[in-house]
Amino acid sequence: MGRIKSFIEAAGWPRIIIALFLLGLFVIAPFVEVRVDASISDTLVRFGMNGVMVLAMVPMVQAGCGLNFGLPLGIIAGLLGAVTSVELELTGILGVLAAMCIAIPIAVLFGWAYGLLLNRVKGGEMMIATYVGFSSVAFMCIMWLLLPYKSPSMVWGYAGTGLRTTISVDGYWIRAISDFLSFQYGKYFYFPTGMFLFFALLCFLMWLFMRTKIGTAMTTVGSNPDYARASGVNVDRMRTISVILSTVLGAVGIIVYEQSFGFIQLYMGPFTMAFPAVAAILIGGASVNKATILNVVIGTILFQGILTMTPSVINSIVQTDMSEVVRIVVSNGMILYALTRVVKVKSR
Amino acid sequence: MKYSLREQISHFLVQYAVPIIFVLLSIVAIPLSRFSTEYLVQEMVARLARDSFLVLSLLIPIMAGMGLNFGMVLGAMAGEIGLIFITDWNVMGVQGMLLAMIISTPLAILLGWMCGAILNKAKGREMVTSFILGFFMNGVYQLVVLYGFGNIIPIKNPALVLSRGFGIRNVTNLAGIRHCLDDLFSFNIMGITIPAATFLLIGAFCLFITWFSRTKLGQDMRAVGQDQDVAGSTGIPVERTRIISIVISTVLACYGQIIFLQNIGTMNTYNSHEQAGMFAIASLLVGGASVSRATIPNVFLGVILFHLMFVVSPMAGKYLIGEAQLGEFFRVFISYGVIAIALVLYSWRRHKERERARRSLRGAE
Amino acid sequence: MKRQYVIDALILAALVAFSIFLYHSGKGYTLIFDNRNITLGEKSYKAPEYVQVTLDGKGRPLEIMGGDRDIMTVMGKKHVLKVDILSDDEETVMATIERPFTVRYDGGNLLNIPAFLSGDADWNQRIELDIAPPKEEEPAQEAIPGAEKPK
Repeated sequence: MGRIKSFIEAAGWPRIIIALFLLGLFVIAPFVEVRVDASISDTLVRFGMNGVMVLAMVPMVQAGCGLNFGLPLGIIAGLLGAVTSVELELTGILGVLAAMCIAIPIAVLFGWAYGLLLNRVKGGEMMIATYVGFSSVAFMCIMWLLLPYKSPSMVWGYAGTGLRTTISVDGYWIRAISDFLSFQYGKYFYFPTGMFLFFALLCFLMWLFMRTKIGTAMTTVGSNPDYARASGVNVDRMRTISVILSTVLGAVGIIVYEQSFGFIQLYMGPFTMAFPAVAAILIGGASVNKATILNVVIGTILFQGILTMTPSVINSIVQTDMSEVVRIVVSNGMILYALTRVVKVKSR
Repeated sequence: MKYSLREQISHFLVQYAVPIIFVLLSIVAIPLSRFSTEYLVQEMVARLARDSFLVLSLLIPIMAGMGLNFGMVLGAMAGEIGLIFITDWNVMGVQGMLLAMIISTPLAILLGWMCGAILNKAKGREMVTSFILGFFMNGVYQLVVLYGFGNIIPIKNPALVLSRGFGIRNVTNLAGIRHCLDDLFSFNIMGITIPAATFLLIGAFCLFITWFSRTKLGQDMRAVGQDQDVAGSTGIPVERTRIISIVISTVLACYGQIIFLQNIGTMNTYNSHEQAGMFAIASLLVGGASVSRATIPNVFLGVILFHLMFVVSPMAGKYLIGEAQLGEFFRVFISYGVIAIALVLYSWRRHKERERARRSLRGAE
Repeated sequence: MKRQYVIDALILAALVAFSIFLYHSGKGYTLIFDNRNITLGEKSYKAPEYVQVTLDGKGRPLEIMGGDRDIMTVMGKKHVLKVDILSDDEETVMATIERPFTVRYDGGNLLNIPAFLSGDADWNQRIELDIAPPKEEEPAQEAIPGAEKPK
C-alpha cells in the first residue's frame, strides 16, 4: 500500500489519470471498431514527429529559464531552412540535411538574441517568451509575403510572389528521415524507423551534453543559482547557451515534423505549436524547473497517444468530435497544474 | 530629490515609449490610409464606447499587484453565456441586456473566485497562469456550450442550435439587443453620432474605480500590490484581498463583454472572448500603462491609439505596398509586439531593482 | 450576523423579482396582423378593405389591405391595439377601435383584425413561425488571425 501511495505521489494524480485514460481508450478501441494496430502506428508516427520539439524544452527548463513558450522562434528558423531547401530544389535526405544546416545558424542567432533578452527579464521569462513567440510569428507573416522566394511550388500562382500558407514537400524530401529502414507490417502498421533513430540520437546527444562540464553547470544554474554564482559559473552565459540549444532543437524539430507530415505550414502555422510541446513534457513528469529525457519520451507518448486516440474512439462512442475540447482541456490543464504546483513545493 | 530636465525628458520617453511610437505610426499611416477625418472620428467614438469598459476592468488587479489579468476572458465567457440565454428566451432591448448581466453575474463571481484562488497558488507568475487559465477555461466553455447546451441545458430556439440538435452555432445573432444601450439616447454633433448612454455608464464606472481606490478595501489592495509580506504583517488578509480584486475584474469584464457585443450585434460564440482579452490588454498597454501601474487616462488614450492603428493599417498597407493583407499582418504583429515590449520593459525594471537591492544588501554585510 | 442574512436574502429576492420583471417586459413576441376573412366556430367576419394598425400609440402605423397581413416584433405581453378603418379612397377614417390586449402565445401570434374588430375572443391564434436557421455568415467583427485557442 505504502509503495503505491509513494508512487502516486511521485507521479502526481493528473499524470496517472491521463495514463489511465489513454489505457482505457486503447482497451475500448477494439470494441468500437477502431483498429488498434493503426492507432498504435499513428501514435508512434506522431511521437516521432513531435519528440524533438518536446526535447527542445529540456535545456531551458534545466537552466531555470522556465518552459519555453518561445518555441515558435526556433520553429521559424526551421521554416526558413525548410523553405530555402525547397527553393534550392534539394531532394531526399540531402534536402533535409540542407534544411537543417541552413536552419541551425539562424536558430543560433535567434536563440542568442532571445537568450540575451531573457537574461534581462529574469522571473518573467514565460510570459515574455509567449509574446516574443507570438510577435515573431506575426512578424514572419509579413516576411513570408515579402521574402524573394521564387520556386513555383511555393509562391502564390497568380501573383508570383509571397509564399503559400502550406507548401507540400512531396517530391522534395517527404519522409526522407522517416523512411530510412522503415517497414510496413500488414496494411495498417507503419514504423518510421529512421525518425526514431534520429530522435534517439538527439536524445543521446542531449544526455551526453547534460553530463559534460557545461551541462552540469547549466543544471546547477537552474537548481541553485546562488550556489552556481558562488562557484564561479557565469549564470547568464549558461542561460544563453540553454536558450540557443532550445531554439536550435526547435528548428530541427519542426523540420523532422515537416518531413513526416509532408507539408510546411507558414504564417500562423507555428503560432500555437509551443503549447503541445510544453504540455507533453509536463505530462511526462517534468516540472517548471526540472526536466529529464525520460520525461520527454513518456510525455510525448502519452500526449500524442491521447491526441490520436480521442478523435477515433470518442467519436465512435458519442458520434461527435470532441477531440478538440479534450486536447485543449488536457494540455492547458496540465500546464496550469504545473504552474500552480511549483510554488507549493518552494514554500514548503 | 531634484531631477535635471534631461533626466525628466528621458524618464518621460521611457515611460511613454509605447504611446509615442503609436502616435508616430499613426501620423505616418493616417494620410496613407486615405480615410476621411470624419470617418475616423466616428469610428473612434464608436470604439471608445464599445471597448472602454472591457479595458477598465483590467485596472483593479493591477492595483492589487497581480499584473495584467489575462483571466478576464473568464468574465467575457460568463457574459456570453448570459447572452446565449436571453437570445434563446428572446428577451430584447435594454431589458435583455440587463437580464443577461444579472444571469451572468453569479457565474462571473464563481469563475473570478476560482481564478483568484488559483492565482494565489501561483504567486509571482500570476500573468502566465491566468493566461493559461484562459485557454483552459476556453476548453471548458466549449465543452459546455458546444456539447452541453441543447443537451443537458435546454435550448428552445432552433436558430441558435447546430443542425445536429445540440451545441450553439458558431455565430449567435444578437439582433434583439443590438445597439440597445447605444441607442437608448444618443445625439449628433457635426454628423458624428455619440452613444451618450454608453458613455454615461463608462463615466459612472470611472467614478466607481476612483471611489473604490479610496475605500478601505482599495487601500488594502494597494498595500498588497506594494508588498504582500508587509501588508500581511499589518493584518490585511492578503489572499482574500487578491481574490476580491480578481472577482471584481471578472464581473466587470463580463459586463464589458456584454456592452461590447450589444454594439457589435453578432457574437462569435467560440472566440469573441479570446479576442476581448487580447484587445483589451494591448489597448491598455498602448495607452502607456505598465504591468504595475495603470490609470483611467491610460485606458482612453490606449483605446483610441490602438484602434486608430487597427482601422488604418490595412488600408495603409494596401495603398503603400498594394497588399491589404500586409497591413493586416502588421496590426497583428503590433498587437502582440506591444504586449511583448511592455512585459519586457516591466520585467527589466523589476530585475534591475532586484539586482540593486541585492548589491546593497551585500554592501551592508 | 442574522441581520446580515436577512438583508442578503432581501437583496436576492429583489434581484430575482427584478429579473422576472425584466424577463416579462423584455420578452419579444412576433405578431402577425392578418386582415383576412375568417370563420371562427359559427361566426364569420369580413375583412375591411383597408386598415391602419397602431400599437401602443407609437411608431408609424402598419397599413394593411384586405386579404393581406403584416408582421411586427414587440416586447412584453400587454399592449393597446388601435385599428383605424379607412374608406376606400384611403383618406377618411370611418371607424376607430382601440382596446388593450395580452399576447397569448410564445413565439408566433396570428392576430385576426376582423375578429378583433367584432370583439371575438379567439382573434389571437398560435402560429408556427417558419424560422430558417441563419446562414453561417462571417460576423461583422475584426478577427485577429491566429488568435484562436492553442492547438
